[in-house]
Amino acid sequence: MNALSRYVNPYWLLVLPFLAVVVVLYLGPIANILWLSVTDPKPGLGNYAKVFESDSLVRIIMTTLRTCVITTIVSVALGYLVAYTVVHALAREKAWMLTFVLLSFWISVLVRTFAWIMLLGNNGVVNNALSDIGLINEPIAFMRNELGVLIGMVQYMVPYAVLPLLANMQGLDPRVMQASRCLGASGLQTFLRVYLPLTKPGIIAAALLVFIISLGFYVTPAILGGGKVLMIAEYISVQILVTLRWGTAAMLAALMLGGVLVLLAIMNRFMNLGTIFGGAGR
Amino acid sequence: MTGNASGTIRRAAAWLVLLFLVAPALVSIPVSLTPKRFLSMPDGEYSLRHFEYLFSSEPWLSSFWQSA
Repeated sequence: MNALSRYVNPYWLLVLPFLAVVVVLYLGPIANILWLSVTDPKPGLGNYAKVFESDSLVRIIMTTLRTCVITTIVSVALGYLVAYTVVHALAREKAWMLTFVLLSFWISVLVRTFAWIMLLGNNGVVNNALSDIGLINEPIAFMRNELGVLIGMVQYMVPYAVLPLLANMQGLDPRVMQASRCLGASGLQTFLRVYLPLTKPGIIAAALLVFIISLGFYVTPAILGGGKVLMIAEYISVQILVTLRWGTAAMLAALMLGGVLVLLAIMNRFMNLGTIFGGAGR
Repeated sequence: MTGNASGTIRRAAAWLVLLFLVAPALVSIPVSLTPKRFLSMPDGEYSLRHFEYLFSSEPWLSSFWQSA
């Protein structure tokens, strides 16, 4: 025991049962999916070769990436604005703003999506309002295209961008900004050269969180995209439920998982991910 | 940083974003009052028939209890 505890921290024994549960219930199914992607319908890398052969697959992957990148940029920008205002607001207003952010967390994605259908459709509230005040003659196509998917996804993702940014901004020392102002920098200069670089960890954490969550979006693209904006998650479900090509679905899932892990690994080289996501720094 | 003009604009913009997050879901309230059978805005006419149906239908009530 003594020799063992020299190499292994004994506290790991306390965690061991939970670790075992995680491995069996979480990593097990993932391993199963990975296994499926190289064995179904026949053993080999045939499923992965499809990525290079099939134009439609490439198009789906590009649509997904483009949608997710735009969603991430817009959500983080809007989230930054909200988080900045919350941090610099007076206590009363701060409480109200946080209430709104939390409120939007509680609205289910289905309710949001159907609400957007009512608002954005050709005969929807927004188009009717715009034509009533005479701004447009024919309805603008907000839905059944990428714009609709983007609106829906951004609306869902902004709160997820706000929270990491808020945590980061609240940890900043306001005296640093005061010092910058005292030394003669203008408000804008202070923001661009002091505040923005200090909030970079928050921006990266928010962007990672938003990007990874939006990769797996299913309901919003399926409904607001009207079948014209096919993203990976929807394609996977079609492969599993309709065409029954589980191998292709498993391959796409494995690619997505791999992509996310590579992304995290790249980020980890530049910064300590543990501290970004709220752990103690090493 | 709350007194000047740019601060006011920024606060207004932040509130607009917050409204964008929450307000769209509110459209479900008028839609629930539509007299028609399908998902639509009520134009001039309101009705509680969907609520009536909800509280008198066995499948809906049992799934309520299931959720609770």
